[in-house]
Amino acid sequence: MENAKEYWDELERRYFDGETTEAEEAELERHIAELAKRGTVNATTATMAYTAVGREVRRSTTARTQSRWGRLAAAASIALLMTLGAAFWARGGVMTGSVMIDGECVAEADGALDLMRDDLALLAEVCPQVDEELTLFLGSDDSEN
Amino acid sequence: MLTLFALLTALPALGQKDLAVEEFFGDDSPLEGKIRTVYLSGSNLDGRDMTLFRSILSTGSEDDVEEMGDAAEEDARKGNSVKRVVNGNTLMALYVQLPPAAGQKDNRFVLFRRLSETKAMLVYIEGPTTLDKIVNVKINK
Repeated sequence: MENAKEYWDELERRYFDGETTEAEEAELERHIAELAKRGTVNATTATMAYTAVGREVRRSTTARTQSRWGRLAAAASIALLMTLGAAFWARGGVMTGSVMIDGECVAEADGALDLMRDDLALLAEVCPQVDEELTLFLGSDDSEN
Repeated sequence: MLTLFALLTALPALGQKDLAVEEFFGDDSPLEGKIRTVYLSGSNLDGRDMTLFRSILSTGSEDDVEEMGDAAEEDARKGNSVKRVVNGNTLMALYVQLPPAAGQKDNRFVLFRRLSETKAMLVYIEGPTTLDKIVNVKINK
């Protein structure tokens, strides 16, 4: 596990230094997509995505004639990344795969998970005033929707 | 590919934006009383059929309780499954299942519980689950 982490950290460093090959960048993109699927994208990968757009635009300009669709795709990517950034800050500066209590990021999820279970228990707790039909809904494993 | 990546990561963050309860979860929350908030997302919720969990426990303000209940009622109008618990004219609990936001696949849930005149809980959940399973989490624990 530690070697894998060192590998990806080194690849990230070389990416920002402009030392990666296209094959290595494709590998990194697949890694990012996997992280996104698992909900563990963080600010670093968001920055890398933004940087990758800029690099792609620069390559198209210097290496060959830039296509119209390439420019549109780059503009759309930047617009979406700006939306991502806005959502990033709207959420208090966190992305998926995060844990916060009272607005502060916490390293371990256990405490937050306990609070979540307590909160859900409060919601499911039968009120003294609940009518009979809803009592069955809240208290039965066979309750129907 | 980068466009798709940005799209996939941006859209889940916007699932609450059309809901009345959204304002309570932001940095500029209008709640005046003491609050305790919880936020869990992504892999932290593996095995629970949820992708996002947010909760607010508000204490000390009758106005906050009323505002939270009113917002939940407003969102219930858009719900496709609603369970309501009342005591006379007072809303005691409200459980709402909403359809996925545009472009997303997870159901959304707004759950409200009045615990006292000055204390209430508001929960927002996203995930491929159903209202019955969420409400039964405690019972089946």
